[in-house]
Amino acid sequence: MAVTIESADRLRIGDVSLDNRLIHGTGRFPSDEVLRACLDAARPQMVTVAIRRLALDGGGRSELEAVDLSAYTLLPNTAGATTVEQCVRLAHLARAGSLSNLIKVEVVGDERTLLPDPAGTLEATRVLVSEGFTVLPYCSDDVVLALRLEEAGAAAVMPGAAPIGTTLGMQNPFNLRLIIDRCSVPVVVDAGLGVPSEAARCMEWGAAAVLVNTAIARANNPPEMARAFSEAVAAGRRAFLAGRAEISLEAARSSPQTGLPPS
Amino acid sequence: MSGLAIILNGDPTEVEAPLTVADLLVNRAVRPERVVVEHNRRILSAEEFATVWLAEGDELELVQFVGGG
Repeated sequence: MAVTIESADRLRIGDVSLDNRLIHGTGRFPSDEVLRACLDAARPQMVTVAIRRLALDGGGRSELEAVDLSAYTLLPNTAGATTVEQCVRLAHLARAGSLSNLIKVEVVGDERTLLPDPAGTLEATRVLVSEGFTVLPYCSDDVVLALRLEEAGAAAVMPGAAPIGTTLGMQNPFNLRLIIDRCSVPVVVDAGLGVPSEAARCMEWGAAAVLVNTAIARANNPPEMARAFSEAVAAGRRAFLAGRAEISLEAARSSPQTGLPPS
Repeated sequence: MSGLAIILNGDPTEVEAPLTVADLLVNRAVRPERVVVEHNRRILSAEEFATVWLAEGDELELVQFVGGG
């Protein structure tokens, strides 16, 4: 019996509803054209963007020129912010640009590791929730912090698998799984994934989505890697919904014993 | 026409007055649909670009979406 799960299995965050649970980054791509090819291959619905000053000597060409941003739900980030005030200011600018309340809160607490500042992330989340934003905070893989962010009104939490841009994969699977288990809001595994099997694994654990940027942008063939991640995310989600078989420490025959011809 | 000293994206900049934000965008070949403008720390709506006149010492931030994760 063919069972279609996709149509009934949308991820809802705020007012947004997603069929594709791969959130696609747009940074560090070799060119806008390669990025566009990746988006065409992965077919994400939500993409992340950053907000920066215009280079006024750039002859009027803006970044992301080759990409039709209107085709996607934009998830602007506050990357670069190191204080709550800077994060809130970037969020206001992002809202004016995207005409939406979605914001990925990033408050970096350490420039070398780019790990988020837990206190600043929580405070920025509180402020922006009170201003009506739909807040998705990028956070460290601390279970209690994730719960506090949820209590503060975060629409989803985004624990990192590994530091941004490292492609190291999940460094703390136990904490990620506890966060997925304990949080009621969607858990989006963000940052540090390296290969599609890791994305699939996160989805099998019950992550609501994953955000991938560097692993696609810096692959030898970014569009093929984008497609592979998209497929892995879908496969992992399907497996989660299917429910894994129980682990048994004793072997259990999968072929029948009865009717075996004698030697 | 007279010179006006403003701060544009953090840099002290001389512009020829009188001019509106919309004029400045035209002078700098910036397409208004891709930019967010903050004028003295207040974000302008697109409708305001043509009605906000720049004054001595004004601070303008012109930002846009760029690639990011």
